[in-house]
Amino acid sequence: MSDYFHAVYVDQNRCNGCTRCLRVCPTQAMRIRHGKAVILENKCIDCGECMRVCPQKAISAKVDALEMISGYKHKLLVYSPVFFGQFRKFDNVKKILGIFKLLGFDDIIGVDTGGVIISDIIKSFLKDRKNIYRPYISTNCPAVVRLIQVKFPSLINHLLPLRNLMDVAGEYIKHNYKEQTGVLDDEIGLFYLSPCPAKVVAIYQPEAEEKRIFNGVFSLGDMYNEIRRIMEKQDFAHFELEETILSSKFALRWSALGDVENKFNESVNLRIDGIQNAIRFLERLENGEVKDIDFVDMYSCDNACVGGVFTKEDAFIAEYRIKKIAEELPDNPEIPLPFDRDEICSIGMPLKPRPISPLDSDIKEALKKMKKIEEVNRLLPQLNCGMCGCPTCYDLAEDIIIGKDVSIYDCPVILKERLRKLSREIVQMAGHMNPIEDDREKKPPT
Amino acid sequence: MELLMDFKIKGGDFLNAGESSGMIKEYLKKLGLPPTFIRRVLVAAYEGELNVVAHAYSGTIAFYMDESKVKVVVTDRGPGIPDIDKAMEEGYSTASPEVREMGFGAGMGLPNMKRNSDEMEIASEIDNGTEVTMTFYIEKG
Repeated sequence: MSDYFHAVYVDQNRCNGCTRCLRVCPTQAMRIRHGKAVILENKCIDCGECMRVCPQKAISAKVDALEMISGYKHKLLVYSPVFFGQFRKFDNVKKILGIFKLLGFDDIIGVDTGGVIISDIIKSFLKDRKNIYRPYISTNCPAVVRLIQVKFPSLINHLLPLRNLMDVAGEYIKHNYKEQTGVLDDEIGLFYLSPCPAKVVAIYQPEAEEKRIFNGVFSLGDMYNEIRRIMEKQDFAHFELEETILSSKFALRWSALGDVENKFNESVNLRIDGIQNAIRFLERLENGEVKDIDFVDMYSCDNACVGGVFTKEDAFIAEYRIKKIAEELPDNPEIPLPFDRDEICSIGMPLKPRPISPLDSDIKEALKKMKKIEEVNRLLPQLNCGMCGCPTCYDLAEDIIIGKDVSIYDCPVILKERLRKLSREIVQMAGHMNPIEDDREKKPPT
Repeated sequence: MELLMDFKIKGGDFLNAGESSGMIKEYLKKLGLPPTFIRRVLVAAYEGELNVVAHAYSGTIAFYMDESKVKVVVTDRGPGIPDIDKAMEEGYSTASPEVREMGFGAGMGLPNMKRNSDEMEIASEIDNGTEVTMTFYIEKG
């Protein structure tokens, strides 16, 4: 399944096969094979939950190196405003942004600007009762988008068919820059400062676009390091952004905290954060139990993007800081729009489901396999201990039947039972005397 | 057709209503059937399950399948349906206005089951119970 790009990968040298990742993976994409963690590419959604728990720090995410920008004449950066939450002295965000310019970026903008641009469009989309797949789920979290594609393919129409904030901000800054400077597309490098691996994947392999929007993506953690180093070494007092920050109270809170409550106030909106909460909700939605909700802003990480895997600061502290920064921002900022707003908010192509391949393309065969899986599963102890290298007993049964290189004796409980039985048989057999043997030999000498 | 799963349903147990149809859904998802097909079976089975919970003392849901179709049979011990034609009308409900005011009993249960299945048969006996048999043909993906 090399069709799918993944950011998350396992460093085989560091991994000691401890099974922690196995237990947290929400899509059962992890296996331990030959003592090392292996990621199943068709199941992984790059949420990064495994990265958080790995005690060996053996799981990382591919990102670009900052030096990449030197390959482009004009360098534009879209940053996740979660970045502001990483600094103790957060009140002067313009100074933090000024340092980006020092790094060589010609223009910078926050994802929150995307929120300012698209919020009216979402509002009228939700108002239009012809749009029937309610609740609509926002596509801001690429891990949620993939979770739905992979595990809940029947809910694909519930994904909001509009661009996510990151892509809107990217299109905006690029359009604007070209307008102002007359520079051509191929001279521009557009980069994203990401709080998580899921967004890295969304940049390399956008799900709803014909072609990539961004040229590269950096980790918020790497950038934090870089900027801290500069702060230690260099006098940056005079680096302060001159431009106004194109954001609003609402857009900043939305883009960093998933806080949508008051904006689309004619509809019923929820924020759901945390991948297990998301799965529980989607399960209910799939069962037809969710009614009267219009819009859900759904995030894989606890506390939404501010809890991203690449962040350094505690998510609750960062959340507090971002709320404080938001207080200083205007309610309704004027954003210069030298082009069609609808165009930069529209997705390039519809989202498609990506269901995990069926047991067999022939239903009769699939049913047979399903029965065999259940038969094997009934033999297993249902401890879901992970010692066989599969996250659950059911996964082991499934892996056995679909012909993965595993056996029922990978289960330590089954193996031990079998060994016990065998050793009893061996003892019994050892005590059995053959007719040709002289059993007097066995008697102790008198 | 082979019986693959069989669930008991307790009348009045609204808290756990939907669990059996959820298990049927999981089974069909694991088989890899088309999402639209799974949705039809799920919605119909869910409504069937809810009908038992809301109206009967107890019941069962049986799930049968072969390579071309799925059959869901909902059987209950309960009051029975006096007028099946009436019960099949959209919006017809025996729920009290108070229940309706709370957002339940919209009278869409049986019509929804009919709409989502390809064939539906109802047999009901007053003061004894009801059996609804729904068949769904698997569309070739």
